[in-house]
Amino acid sequence: MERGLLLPGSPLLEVNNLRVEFTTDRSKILAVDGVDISLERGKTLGLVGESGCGKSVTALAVMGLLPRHASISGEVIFKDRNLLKLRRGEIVKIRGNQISMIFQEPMTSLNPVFNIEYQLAEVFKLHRGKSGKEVRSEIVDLLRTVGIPNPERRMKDYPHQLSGGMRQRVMIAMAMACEPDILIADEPTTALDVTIQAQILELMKELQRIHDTGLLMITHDLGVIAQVAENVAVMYAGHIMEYSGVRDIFSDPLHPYTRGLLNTIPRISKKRTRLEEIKGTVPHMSNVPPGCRFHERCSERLARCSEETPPLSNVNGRTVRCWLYK
Amino acid sequence: MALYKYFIKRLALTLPTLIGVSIIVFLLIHMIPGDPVDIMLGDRVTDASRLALEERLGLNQPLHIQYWNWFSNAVKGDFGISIRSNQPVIEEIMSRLPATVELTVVALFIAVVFGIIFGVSAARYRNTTIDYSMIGFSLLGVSIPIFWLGMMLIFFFSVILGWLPVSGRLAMGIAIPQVTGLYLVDALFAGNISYFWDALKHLALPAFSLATVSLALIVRVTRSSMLDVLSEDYIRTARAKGVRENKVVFTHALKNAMIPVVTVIGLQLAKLMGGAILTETVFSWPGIGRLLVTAISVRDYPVVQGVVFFVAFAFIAINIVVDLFYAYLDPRIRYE
Repeated sequence: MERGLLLPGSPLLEVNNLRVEFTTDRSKILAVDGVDISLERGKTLGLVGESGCGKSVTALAVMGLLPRHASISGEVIFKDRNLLKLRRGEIVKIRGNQISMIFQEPMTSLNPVFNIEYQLAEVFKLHRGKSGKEVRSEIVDLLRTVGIPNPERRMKDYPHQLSGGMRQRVMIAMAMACEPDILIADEPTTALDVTIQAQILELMKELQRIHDTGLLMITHDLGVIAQVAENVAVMYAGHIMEYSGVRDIFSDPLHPYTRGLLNTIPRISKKRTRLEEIKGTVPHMSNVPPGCRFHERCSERLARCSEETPPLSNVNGRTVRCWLYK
Repeated sequence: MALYKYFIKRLALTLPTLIGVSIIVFLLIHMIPGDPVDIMLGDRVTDASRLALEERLGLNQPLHIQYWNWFSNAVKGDFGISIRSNQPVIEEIMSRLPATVELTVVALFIAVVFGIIFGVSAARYRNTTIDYSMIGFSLLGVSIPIFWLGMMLIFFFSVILGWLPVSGRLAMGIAIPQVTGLYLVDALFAGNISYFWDALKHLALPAFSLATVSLALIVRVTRSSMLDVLSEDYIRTARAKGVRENKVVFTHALKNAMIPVVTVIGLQLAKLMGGAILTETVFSWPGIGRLLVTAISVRDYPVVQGVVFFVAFAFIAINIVVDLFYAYLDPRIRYE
């Protein structure tokens, strides 16, 4: 695929033709098939799709956190280096320092047997070589920044003493401790109450603005995308289906899958109608259908859709993978 | 603070257990079928000596008074006089205790250190040759009868190779000035390296054969507990922070995985303290286990009672320590 099709500018992170395959005893599962995305400083790229479409695997591949039985090919270019080619000793210096990540489950993402101070201090120790009293005031500042009241006392707490929202704030503090160039957030608000969700997203935007961080926001929630992203990549079954600016996605979705996703959002104006759905389910990745991966569920499918896989192509300055636009 | 309160609460909870144990141990002497005095003395004795023994054991008094007398003495460490040696039971126990403690501590040390290292390695290198050989080894460890292993070790290392002594705690003719009764420690106090070396050589085979079962159990529990923990979200968080894999495994994962391991270690320690009866017998090790076996075979009931009560007490004490250790490892227990 031609790189020029993607959004211009000098990207901070560039993922080119990323493929991830898991080999198990019985089958091969192709989780990510030729994904290209790029992320700019200070900007947010939303990566959207249903469960199992390969969003999280893409993020974990960037972090180098995939399990050993995953075979990975392609390129992840960050600061002129291909992260996929780095040795373990080199990638650990980047993780949590220049690229950090927050996860979906705040309830289980913090280690239950160490207190908050220890878990935050560890980041400073690893990447700044500082420890003990030196970092205590930095930790207090950091916790205050993410909106934890009474941080001098709360940092002595263990994770089980904090609420879900508080824990996610701690996760954000941990991720932002070294002022990373890139923050990857994998469904950071999915497990939280709606009111807390908005606060957490606001906090992430605020920190992004201060530190000029590139944010990769992974979610299945288009509401979150509307709130934070400038650009959106829609993923389906390991493929990018559509890639464009956030306004275009909402005002004029090109791919039938994107349209389907938008239709599933409940609207206050439309009263008492049944919530729309996309018929069928995501194909299992050990057995992907030939042709366009979405054709079995697509309401606008053409004859060739079940035979030939459409390429990502440029349509009026936007990128889409669909035969309707050829 | 929180940990201190927890300790007090835990301590209070052991009182009923201790009383229950004491009743059972006390009744031991009354559970002997027939008249205990007959059994202890045989039938060719005079009435006078029968009455004397009844008097000495207090058997001519009502049961609750007997219990109270026995219990109030036992709490003070007085378990009566051994019928066989005419020594106070507590002295008999105390003279054997260091041998058992020394053997137990060294065996448990071997089991814990290697058990955890092997278990963690097996989990870390899951489904590799390392993992499979650890599993195989631990299966062997729990399956081998300990007395057979002891005899094979003696046969190989003492008889064929002649590297290590066959039995006992020290070579004939050596006497280490007694301070603690633990020969390894006493030899160091005396500043005599050759005595230390001799004591260690005597300890090697019994400690190793005693350690085998516990070691194998610890390997298995550590492995499965580590496998659970390594798939937790917070392990991924630690890796995402840039923590190196070794530290992820030995700090972030191990502290979480230790809770079931500590339980097993505690149970093993209590079991070993209760007298490693087979090992002590095979290696003629003069400890609590052999004292108990001898006392049972000559029907020295005060000694049996004393040893059983003592062992039960050790069990309870070790359980408290294990519970405290849980609280140290897992803050969720501490703040409950």
